This record gives sequence, structure tokens and C-alpha cells, in this order.
Amino acid sequence: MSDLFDSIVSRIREDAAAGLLPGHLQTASIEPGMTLAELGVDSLGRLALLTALMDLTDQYIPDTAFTEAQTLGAIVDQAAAMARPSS
Amino acid sequence: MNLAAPHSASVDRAPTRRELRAALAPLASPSTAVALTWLTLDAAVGLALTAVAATAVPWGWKLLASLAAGLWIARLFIIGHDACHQALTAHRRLNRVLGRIAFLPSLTPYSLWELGHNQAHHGFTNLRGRDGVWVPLSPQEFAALPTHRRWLERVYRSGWGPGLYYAIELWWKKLYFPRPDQVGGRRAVFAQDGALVTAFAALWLGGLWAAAAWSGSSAAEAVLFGLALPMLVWKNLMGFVIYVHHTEPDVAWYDDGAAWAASMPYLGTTLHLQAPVLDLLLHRILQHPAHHLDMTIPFYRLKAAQQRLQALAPRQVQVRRLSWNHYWQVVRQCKLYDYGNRRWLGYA
Repeated sequence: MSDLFDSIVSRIREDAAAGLLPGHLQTASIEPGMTLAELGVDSLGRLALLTALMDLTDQYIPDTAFTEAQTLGAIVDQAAAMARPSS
Repeated sequence: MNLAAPHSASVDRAPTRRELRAALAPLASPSTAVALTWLTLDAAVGLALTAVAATAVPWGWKLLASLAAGLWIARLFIIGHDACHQALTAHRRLNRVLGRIAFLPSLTPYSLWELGHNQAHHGFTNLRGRDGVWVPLSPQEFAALPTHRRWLERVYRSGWGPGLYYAIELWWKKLYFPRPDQVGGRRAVFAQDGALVTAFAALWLGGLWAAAAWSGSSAAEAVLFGLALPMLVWKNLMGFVIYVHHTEPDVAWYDDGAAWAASMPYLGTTLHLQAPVLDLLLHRILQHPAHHLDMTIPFYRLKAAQQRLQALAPRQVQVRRLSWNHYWQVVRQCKLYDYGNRRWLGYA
């Protein structure tokens, strides 16, 4: 798993502890192949994920990242690709 | 890019957010001792001021203490605001506890503040549809409003309306037991935090009533000077501070995420307002670009961070002297917004 994936998992656990994401995510296994629905992430949770990804990558990430990618791992990969400097 | 030599002739592009944050990173190191000292001190002063406002006999003292109590609500709020950004101490759980305590006098539910401020406002400053703070209406949107709503918008942006705006549009609609559709969803912690501030308000009222009975003064006066007037001062201060930091003829709003992202929003959507006394009284919140660049810098290091930021990005950081004239010029010019041409408009 990438550093970014580990970082986003850490942020998910923090947001779960704060009550903004489902409480079970504080300790549950979070795998790249899991969908947001499987994680129990609703529209508020998507906002939390989006802002966390933007903060971690210092990059604007459009909402489409969540519609185009089906799994958490794919969303993170897409965010990482957007953050990568273009050659 | 050599960030150690910001004025070098080799610098020909704006520094990125990542570069600036890296340069300011040493300042993002909170001290639990400093945090606890400020919280204890401000809470003690705020309590003392409220007691004087509720019980003092000479009206002059009562009024002065009451107005100052409003300012102390703001100071405590700013400490809570740091905690909510995880900037107050290095301990996340402690921050959540201290933040909730510091937010009590302003009756601010912590989790809803975290949602609206940390995520929506800081994540998407001045991007319509995401940031919900002082969002300007387009002329078409304004014209389509019912009469009473147009009148309210005019009051909000009259220069005298920041407190009313904060009380209605932010606190009432988005912080205090908001409808789920107003904040994008429902969470148990939202209701718990609403109940917490409600319980504190009841305790506050009970304390004022007891103080009035003990001192032989009127309970109505105690509530007026010990709660209502401080709350009025607080809400106006809050509405004013968030207005002046993100509303100005040279500060753009966006309705398109890609254009917003390309505009260096981490610097371009806020101002550094220079008003040294107010800045000191409000725990350095006027060092706003540095705060927006990195929310984890504690308030007592923001001034140093802002100085560093201005040295690193002198052309990107917008600096203004906050004065009576400045405020009223902004108020006169910034009523509605033309999102297509990105310019502020007056009422037709």
C-alpha cells in the first residue's frame, strides 16, 4: 500500500474517532479494494475524505474522483496521480 | 526554488502550497503547557468579567465588564478553534476535550464547527457550493429572492449586519441543531454537541440568576449584562472577522472548482489585515493567510508564521491596514458578485 493510502486510513480513523465517520472505522480493517459503501461512508463522509485527500496531496480533487473510482484504493491512486507533477 | 532566499532574482514563480507549508512547518508545533495556560487564564478572566457584569452596581462598570466579556468569549473561541484544527496541543483527544470546553461560552457545537469550518471553509475557501461563509449572491440570485429575503441580505451587507448574519446564517442554520439537509447529513455527535452547549447555556443562566439573588440585583439585568450583551458583542466580532478576511474587491469568489484551484486559493482568498491591538486581543487571528496556509500552526506562533510567509510570497500575500475607512469601502463595493467576470458589484 502507498504512503498516501496509509495516510488516508489514518485520517479516516481520526474522523471516525471525532464522530464524523462511522465509529467502527476507528479499528476496522480498511483495505484498498473496499468501496465507500462498504466502509459506510455517506455524503458527509465523502466531504471528509475529499478534504483529507486534498490536504494530504496539496491538490484540488474534483468530486468526479469519487464517481469515476469505485474503491478507496482507486480514489487514492487517482488523487496521487493528480498530485504528481506533470512532466 | 530556494525558499531560504525569497528575494533572490531566481525566484520567478509563485511558491506552491507544499513549499510554503514545508517552510512554515517548524512553527506548527504546539505546546500543551502554553495552551493550558491561555485557556485557564482566559476562562478565569471571562468568568470574572461575567460576574462583574451580572452583579456590579455602577452601570459603567457593568457595561464595561459586559462588553469585555464578549471579547473574552471570542478569545476562548479562538483557543477552541485552534483545538478543532488540532493546533492547540499535540494530543488529538485532549484537543477535542479542550476545544469543546473553550467553545462553551460562544455556544459553539464542536463537531459541527469542525465540519463547516475545517472541511468546508478551509478545504474550499471562497468556492461557492462548498464554502458556506459569507457567500455572495449573483445579481440574478438576488433578484429572484422574495422581498423579505432581499431586505435581510441588504441588512447583512449593510456594514451593521455581521452579527445578525453570523447568528442566523451560521450559528442557527449550521451549528445549533441544524437540519440534516443544511449540513449534508446527520451524526450522533452533532446532537450531543448541541445538547452540551444547551446545558452550558442553562448553567450560565442559572449562575446569573443566583448571582443576581446573591448580590440583590435584578435577574433581568444580570441576564442582559451577563449573557445577552456579551453574546451580541461576540456574534458581531465573529461575523465581522470572517467577513473582512474573505470579502474585498480584490478577493475573488469562484463557482468552478478547476478555476478556483488554479488561482492559488490558499493565499488569494484571504487577506492579512493589519490592526495590531485587535490582533493581539483576538489571539492573532488577523494573521489569517498563515492560518489558512497551515491550520496546525498554533495562534501564539501565527505572527511569526505570517512574517515568514510574507517574506516567502511577497507578491501573493495580500496585506491591508484594517481601518474604519477600509471596512466601509469594502461594505460599499461588495454587495453582489458577478461569478462570470469575477468582480464584486453593488446593488443595481
